[in-house]
Amino acid sequence: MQKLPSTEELFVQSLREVKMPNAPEDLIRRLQKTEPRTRNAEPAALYALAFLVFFGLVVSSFLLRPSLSYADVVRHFQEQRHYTVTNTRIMSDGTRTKGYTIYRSGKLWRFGTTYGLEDRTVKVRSHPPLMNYVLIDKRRDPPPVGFRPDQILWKGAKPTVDHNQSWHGRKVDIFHIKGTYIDRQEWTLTEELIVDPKTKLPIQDTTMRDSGQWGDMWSYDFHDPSPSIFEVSIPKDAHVYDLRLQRKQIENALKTHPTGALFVGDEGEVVVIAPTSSAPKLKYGATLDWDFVGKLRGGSGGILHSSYDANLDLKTIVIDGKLYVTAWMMRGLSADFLNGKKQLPPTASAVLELGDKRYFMKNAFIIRTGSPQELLLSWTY
Amino acid sequence: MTDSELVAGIAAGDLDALEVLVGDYHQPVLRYLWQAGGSKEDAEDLACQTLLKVRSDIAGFRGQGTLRSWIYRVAYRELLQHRRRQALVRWIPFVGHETSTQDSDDALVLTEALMTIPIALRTAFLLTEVEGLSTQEASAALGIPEGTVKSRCHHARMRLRKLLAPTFGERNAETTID
Repeated sequence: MQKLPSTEELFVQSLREVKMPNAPEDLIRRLQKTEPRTRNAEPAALYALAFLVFFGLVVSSFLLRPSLSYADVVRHFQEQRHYTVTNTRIMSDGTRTKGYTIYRSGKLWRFGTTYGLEDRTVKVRSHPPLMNYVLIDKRRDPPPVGFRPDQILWKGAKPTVDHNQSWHGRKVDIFHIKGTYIDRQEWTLTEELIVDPKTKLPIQDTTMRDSGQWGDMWSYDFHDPSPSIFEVSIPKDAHVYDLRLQRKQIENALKTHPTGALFVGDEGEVVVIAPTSSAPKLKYGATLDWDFVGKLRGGSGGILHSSYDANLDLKTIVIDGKLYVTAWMMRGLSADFLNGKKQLPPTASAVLELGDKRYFMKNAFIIRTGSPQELLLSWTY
Repeated sequence: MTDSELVAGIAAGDLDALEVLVGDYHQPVLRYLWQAGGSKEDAEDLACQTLLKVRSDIAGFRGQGTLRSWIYRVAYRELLQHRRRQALVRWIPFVGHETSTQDSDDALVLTEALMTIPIALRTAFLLTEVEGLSTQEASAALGIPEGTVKSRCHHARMRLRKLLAPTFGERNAETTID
């Protein structure tokens, strides 16, 4: 049974009572092997010496050489509101291909064909005949760009800088960073950040991963992009979905049908939304592996193929303060329902088969909504 | 064993002291890191790292607060460092974050619900409400003023009440499972 405790006190009590695993058996041995760091018996003298050294370094840095630091570049970049960032992907064989471009002009931004406008975000996905639709949602912040202010915090990252270097006929400062990241094992990552010492802004940033095998390069331009960049063009025949309205539609549907609902999109895609109390033990917050195959098939309504394998993508979301699990059926409804030969019933039962277990959802409300997968992908509470 | 005796024992590598350290603090620290960070697997690693850090940096405990608040402070720092590293991992394409399927449903639901509360509010709430630290201890553990601890706990409770408040019909109405 999966349910939230009904009161704050019970919630806290439940948190206290969550069973914790025992400490690893070798922890005591590891603690014994760990050597404590010793403190100097006369720390005041040490601190005084350290202060003098630090003070000397600060003074010398002002007197002897430019003081531009990685942190300066980070700060100046974060203050910018007008720029164009062009990404280039560097492949393992050394070839370079153009990646995405990010534009920003004050509050307006654009990332490919996604537009951040004053009061809304608009995604244009027009690649007919495969897809041709436009999604309108609430306004979101611009995406992060290649130059990452938090890189300075990477494990082991220690920026070094070469000042006053020649680069394409101009004088620049070049920062070098070596760090690591963990993806099952530790990988190397190197970054070369080229900065204009006059503006203290990045010109080009190249990050290479896995001992230089592949990476990305970002080029920066801090002129205000043309206003035409942010003019949205709705392609002919594109279906326009307003996710703000669809979100309300789903909330209302679940209020009147709390046992769950089947949402059917215009492309025939099917999304099951069920309260966690009726859901099987799922990997919360995780996407199932592709080899985890389930079946979603019709009950009394018979709207889904009776033996139709589908890869299910399972996630949890919070809607109106309540936890739900969503199961997305990738392949969707049969053509008969899309071309109108068969009509969707108002409710249907569904069997969700995961491995050798079957979960039955009774009288789920069926609702047609524009693009439920896109909607749930962007769901925020 | 008093705080000062325990600190001396940890510094000396005394087996009894280390067993007290693990026995008294491993599970509370693990629970805090799990509920604050959201991942049990990460929390298990971080809890061990926290205790190892306590052992290696025990000279840094100057007795100005309780040992308990200092240990939670070490745990909090470990968690923040871990989140910074994770920020990079998330940025790298196709690297997912996995959670275990072996945890109890209740624990998962509770953790999932906690994740809807921002981490700054969550950590203050967990330390005071779940781990039982005083406002003063939580203030030392998080490195923020006592007033801020109170304010964060208040806002966390408000969020929690909103999350728990029944918004419609019967909460968690169940369907048949066969």
